[in-house]
Amino acid sequence: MAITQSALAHAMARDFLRAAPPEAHVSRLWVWSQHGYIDPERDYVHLSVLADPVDEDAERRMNKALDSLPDRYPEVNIGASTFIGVPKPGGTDPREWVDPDAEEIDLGSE
Amino acid sequence: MPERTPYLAIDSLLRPLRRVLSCVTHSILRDPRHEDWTPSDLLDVVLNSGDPTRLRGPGRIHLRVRLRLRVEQADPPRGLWDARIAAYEYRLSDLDDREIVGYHWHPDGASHVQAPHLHLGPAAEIGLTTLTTAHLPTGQVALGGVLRLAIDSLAVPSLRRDWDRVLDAASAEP
Repeated sequence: MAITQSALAHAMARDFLRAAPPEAHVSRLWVWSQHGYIDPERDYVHLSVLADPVDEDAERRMNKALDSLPDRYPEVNIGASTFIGVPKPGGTDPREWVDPDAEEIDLGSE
Repeated sequence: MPERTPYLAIDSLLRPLRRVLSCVTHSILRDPRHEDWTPSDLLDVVLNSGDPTRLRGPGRIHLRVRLRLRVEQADPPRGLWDARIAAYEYRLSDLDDREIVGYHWHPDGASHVQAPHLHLGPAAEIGLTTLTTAHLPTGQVALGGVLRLAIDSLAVPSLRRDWDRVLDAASAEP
């Protein structure tokens, strides 16, 4: 049985959270998915990540965790947005910059 | 096209780019923002964190894509948002990541060359050394055109059946 888009997006979010280093301090994560959005034959999943890494190395390793997702999901088109640091009004506040239909992942349960 | 929110403006610009990239790679195109970024700053967009992405095929060709977007809000009362490409780097390199071709446009960069141009890298092996350091004028180049070059001339296999139509449709967009 084929995996649903929502289940696929949640699985991808879980895999990312497992692979991202704790030092990345991922605090919020949203997923949005739609079949055929980029390729009519494939699912598309977009991840939006809010994190406050302790240093550039933690940020780099977090980005690598994102970049490794296509290896695990070779049949899926994936896009991502990352918001680094503490959001400032009028700046990177992700509530203004994330798809309003995106689903926020409960980090406590993933 | 102007949109109601900055997210939609960026997405309407990046969606066709993701579509053409999906013809040759599944690597992630990402728009990273740091806390000090504001909409008055250019927005970086990178494929595979800006590192070369290995494409399929016998030539072990690598692709690097870096863009900068300008995200602007129109004046009230409508205040719609728009995003457009303000700079780009599209680079194809060989198995050792030696540059074959590099299409650049960085009008706000430090270089004295602000017009769109082409670099022929050492892996192009053209034999005329003066050209390997030259900035060859090109006009605006579409990412889809660079990926078509990779498929047609560098034996990079396409990853989707409708790649020809997708790249054709995108060829007019920088």
